[in-house]
Amino acid sequence: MSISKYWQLNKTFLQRHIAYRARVSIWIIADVANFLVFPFVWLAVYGSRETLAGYAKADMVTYYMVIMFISVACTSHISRHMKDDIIKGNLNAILVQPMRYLFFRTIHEVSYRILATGIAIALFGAAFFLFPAYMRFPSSPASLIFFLLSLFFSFYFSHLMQLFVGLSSFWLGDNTGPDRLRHIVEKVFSGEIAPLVFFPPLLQSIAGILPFQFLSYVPAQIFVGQLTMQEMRHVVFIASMWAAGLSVFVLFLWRRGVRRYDGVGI
Amino acid sequence: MKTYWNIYTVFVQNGVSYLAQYRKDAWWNVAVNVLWVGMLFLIVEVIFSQTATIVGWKKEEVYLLTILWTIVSEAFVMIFGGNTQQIPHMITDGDLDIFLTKPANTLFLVSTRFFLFRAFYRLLADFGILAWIVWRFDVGVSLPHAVLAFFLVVCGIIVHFSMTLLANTLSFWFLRIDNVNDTLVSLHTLGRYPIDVFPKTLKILLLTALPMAFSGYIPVAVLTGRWPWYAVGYAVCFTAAFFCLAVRFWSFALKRYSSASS
Repeated sequence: MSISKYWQLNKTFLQRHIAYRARVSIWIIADVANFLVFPFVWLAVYGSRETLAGYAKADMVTYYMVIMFISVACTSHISRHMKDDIIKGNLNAILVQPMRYLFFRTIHEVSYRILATGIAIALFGAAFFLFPAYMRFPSSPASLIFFLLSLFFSFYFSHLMQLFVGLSSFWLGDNTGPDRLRHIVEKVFSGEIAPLVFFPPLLQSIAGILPFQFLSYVPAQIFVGQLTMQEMRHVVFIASMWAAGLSVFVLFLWRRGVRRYDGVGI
Repeated sequence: MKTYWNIYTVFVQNGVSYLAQYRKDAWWNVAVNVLWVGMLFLIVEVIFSQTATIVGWKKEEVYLLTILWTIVSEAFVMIFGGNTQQIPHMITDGDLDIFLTKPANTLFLVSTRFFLFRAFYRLLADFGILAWIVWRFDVGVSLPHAVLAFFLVVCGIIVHFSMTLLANTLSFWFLRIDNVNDTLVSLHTLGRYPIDVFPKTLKILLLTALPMAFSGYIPVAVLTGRWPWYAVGYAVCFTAAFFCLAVRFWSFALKRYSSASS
């Protein structure tokens, strides 16, 4: 497998994203707006209290800032493209090229994330600069390293979920329903709407079993210092296991799906 | 007027035909919508597990706010949602030409031609949930207040339409900005919470330039007596002015449309 062609592909996609700067900016606003409300709501809930379930005000605001960062920099949005590829027959053109489809779409997404990460870092830095009293930084270099590792897993799991939904088009055609379902499940069990410790015990237990916590909750917990070194090692190990298992399942679905594919438009 | 009514009847009939073609998808959507509303209620539960009131709002009032916001969103999607979002594509691809040649108002055709019937089912489910909230929390509402709140919900739908039209009309100048609709959806969530939690500047913005407060906050504020009755006058005047602004902006933009295809 030649790496250079994928590198060239990455550069081409990146140039295309830069060409449509207005579009990228609008996406960023959409991602940020989703989380704008929560710090204000929680600060109102705190009132005169200093902590809630072990979270100080700064922890809570930083928690949502990290989730905003993840939403901009590490959240994949590939399923819509995959749906179009499959139901409109665009996949034909990619299948006959000397490159793997899943790599092709992954590089498409990664090139966008490279651009988005730069913007996310700038936004995160601005939040630190403007609201220093409400922001905190990881307490040790080790936490920072584990946080960066958790960001990788966050992107990887987000991408895997998108691949699942995208591949469902081989069987379902329009995948809007599964995509909405994914959206809800991810929002609830990833800790995006609130730290999972605030959830009812039953939902906490379910979230603890599922891999969605690696999307947002785990990275944010690491960043605000809610996990010990041993807990961080443990979650990275569990995330690795999930990543390996789900990757195999994605490949399995791709092989089964492409066999069903009837190439509309040939 | 009768002509437009006849045209709209045909649009609704087309919506029924579309639904008949994708029945499974419609039921799937209703089920997912109930889950969605469940998730919104979970947010309320999580917040109120830590406090009895938030900026003076009780849990049942925030529930009411959430469901009225959902009803405004769903009604907008049912009537306009599948249409206004297509404006950037129509302009980029030149599909707008066909509407300009029809002997009817272009904006009417562009913004109402696709009636999303499955959203009607979802709306029915939302009204069922509203009835459940009123029963569950024993919300005591007088008939005049309820009528006023319903009227403000209609204002909320018109404001939401106007805002979407304004944003999508920008695509006459900027290419490939169809994702502005995703941004509006994200910003629209700001109207799901009591706006008193926000700093003053943001609060003023939500009542004027970014009028998200019209979708849920204002109807519930009137319903619960937080806003005096005369504040309804502001809501009505603002709705009329904002709608006129959106329509005039559309007309202004349409004059400079040069077509992309024909």
